[in-house]
Amino acid sequence: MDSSIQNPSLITEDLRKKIYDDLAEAMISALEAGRINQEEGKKSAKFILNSLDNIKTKEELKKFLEDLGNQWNIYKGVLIKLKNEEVQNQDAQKLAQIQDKLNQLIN
Amino acid sequence: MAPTPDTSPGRTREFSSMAVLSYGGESTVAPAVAQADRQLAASLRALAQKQSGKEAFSAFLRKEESASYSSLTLEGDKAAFGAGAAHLNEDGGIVLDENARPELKAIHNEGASLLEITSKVHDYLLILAAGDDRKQEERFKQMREQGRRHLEGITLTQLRQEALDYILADPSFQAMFPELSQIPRSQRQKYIEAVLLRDPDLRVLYSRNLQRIQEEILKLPEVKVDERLEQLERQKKENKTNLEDGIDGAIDVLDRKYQGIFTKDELTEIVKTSYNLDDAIDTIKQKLLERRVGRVQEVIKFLGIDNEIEKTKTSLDNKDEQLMQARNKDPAATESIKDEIKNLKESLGKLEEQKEKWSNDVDLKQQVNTYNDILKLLDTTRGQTSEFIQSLKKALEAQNGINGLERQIKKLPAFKDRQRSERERLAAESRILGRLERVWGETVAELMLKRYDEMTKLEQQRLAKEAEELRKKQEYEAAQDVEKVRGVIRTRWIEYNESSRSRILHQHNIGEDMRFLAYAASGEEGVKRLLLREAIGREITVIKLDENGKEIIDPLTGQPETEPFQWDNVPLSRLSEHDRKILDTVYTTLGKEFKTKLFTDYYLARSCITDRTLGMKIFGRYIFEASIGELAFRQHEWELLHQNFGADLESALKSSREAQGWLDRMKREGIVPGFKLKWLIYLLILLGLGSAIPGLGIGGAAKAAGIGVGSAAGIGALTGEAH
Repeated sequence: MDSSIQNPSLITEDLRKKIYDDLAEAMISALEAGRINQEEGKKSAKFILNSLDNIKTKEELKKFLEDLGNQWNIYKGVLIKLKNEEVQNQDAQKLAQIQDKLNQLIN
Repeated sequence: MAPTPDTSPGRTREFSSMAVLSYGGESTVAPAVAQADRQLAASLRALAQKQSGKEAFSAFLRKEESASYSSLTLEGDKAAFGAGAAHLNEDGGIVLDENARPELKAIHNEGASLLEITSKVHDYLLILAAGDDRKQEERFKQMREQGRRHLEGITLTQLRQEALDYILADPSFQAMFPELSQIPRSQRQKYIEAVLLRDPDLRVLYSRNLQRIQEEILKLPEVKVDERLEQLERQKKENKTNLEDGIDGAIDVLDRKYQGIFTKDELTEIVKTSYNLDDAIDTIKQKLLERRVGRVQEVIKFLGIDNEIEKTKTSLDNKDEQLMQARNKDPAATESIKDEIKNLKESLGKLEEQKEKWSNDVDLKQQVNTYNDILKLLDTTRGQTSEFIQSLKKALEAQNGINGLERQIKKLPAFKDRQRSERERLAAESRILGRLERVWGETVAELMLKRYDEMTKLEQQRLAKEAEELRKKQEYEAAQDVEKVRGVIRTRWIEYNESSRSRILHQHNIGEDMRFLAYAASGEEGVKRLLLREAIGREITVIKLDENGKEIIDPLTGQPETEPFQWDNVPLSRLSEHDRKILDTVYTTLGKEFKTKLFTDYYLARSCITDRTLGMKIFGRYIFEASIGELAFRQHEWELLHQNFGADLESALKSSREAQGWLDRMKREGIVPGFKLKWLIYLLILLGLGSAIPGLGIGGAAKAAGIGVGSAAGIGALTGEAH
């Protein structure tokens, strides 16, 4: 069983992959736009590869993304996106709960 | 551009080749870096999409530095080089293509031309210092009489134009102020000539920097010379001339009959790859027939058909005789002979029919004529009289000679020595080229920073005086708060240490604060919040209010409840009386200075200071890039800044005669300067490098240079106050 199902604070492999993809997109876009040079890009790539695989929890992930964004501005958007998605998920969950309660009342 | 005197035997050099030189040296680096980065990004994106983002990071990390920048070398990728050429063509007006590369190498081996150009620019600076036009003309004549060879054969007007062209082509200056590219080239030239070069401080700095480079040029390592090697090289050169003559002669003959059938390069390649004359002739014949006689096989058969018919008839006669004999001696064999005769007659009929058909084919007949002409042209038996064969022979002999000489040259120990010394010289020249490319931009940056330091010093003195006055009024607490923020203004963005004369760039802070101002609800609120952060702290405690806006009292203590906010989201209207008083004091005393210093530091940091710890060094060059890291603003961020501070800037510019001079001129030229360009103009005026162009009737009496313009009075102008 996926450990994250047992403990919701753990991150799933899907999320890890998604974060990798989002970070790669941020780096590639910045490289294209000339907002980062290759040398800095590589430093950040090394930092990401050395850290992201060892991250277990969502809190650690947020801390990592915050540190990353502080060091290389180009990655700041990834944390914001993650937080937005979390809020959206929470909203969706709340809406589902409300929907459930309404259904219980109606039925 | 006027040609300069030939400074070395056998070599003709044009001044304009300096442009080629700077073009090929390192000026292509910035656009080529961008090109290489884009290419790399495209391949990483493909990898990320095909596999995963993680794989893209791993691949990026595996990529060797040298490989990623291989396209930036002179022998590198043509696409990157082409992009560089296009970039320069747009910005610098230099029309070049990649064919300039071989020429670049030739220039590379000649230090004199570098010396010549720097000498010309240097002399032009000296002439400018003489004063008005008449005195300049006198000075120019004097210098020519002093025997300065590089001034021979040109006029002062030509010298002036050459020097300005050289300065204008400086890529580092262009990169420092990308906004200036909005202004037409003629006006940029006028700005450099009438404002920057008239600044004595700048002339002194530039002259000193040029002289240092000249000294390096004079110390360039020599390429090793060997008598035997030189002799063989001379012979090789002669052979090369013969090769070219031979090829030209052969092409001439071919062109007379078949215009453009072979290019010079094509024929040279055939000569280089052929073993001997026959081999070359065979290749040429084959290509000529392919190109001019499409139905070669039919032509050959047609030309041999009479012979074929004759042979068939002879065979038929023989078989008839065989048949006669067989009837007498071996009647059993007659049947097979009869079959053979029948077949031969059929063949003969077909051949005659084919001959008849081909004889009526007009196109084939023309092709036959061409075929015969080609054979005649390539007839080696007429070797002594055929002009084509003679030319081809000459080329082949010359090529053989070159091959033999090259083998001999490579065997000489002196050859490797020379190669090594050539490499050393090229490396040394490359370093000088790099310095030459950025010497003007660096000089302007150096002066701007010098003026900025002086300006900051004056500003600090003024603020210290104000703080002292507050103290005298016994407003100790307020004086302390002001002192605290004053320290921030001094150190938060560009920190200057007077004792060590060092400047520390806090790029992250500049980027963070500028962005905060851009995204703030209004410019003034943004400034207040930044001041709040510095004077009080990041966390601000305010009294908690209920839904009706009334204070909530803690039932246990009877005191109002409080709640913490951050400096960037605390409701300013709910600040405690104590905090409000501090904010009011620092805002009134330092608000204007705070925002102006931040904007000025931003521009200075972006244009003149490269944070060398960031490792922006590429090929020994710290690039002046507008878009470095956190100082790179997106267009919408500029728009937000304009929204928040546009009015401030407009009123500051209105209060400056120099600024009005710039803006009026631009208006007449149909240029609508954007927020960025206006800020740049403001900064240049602040530093005494933006006065209106004298003699144009616009702000002519304005101070051309000097810190007076950029003093505290100048800073205050941003708020629109009259000074």
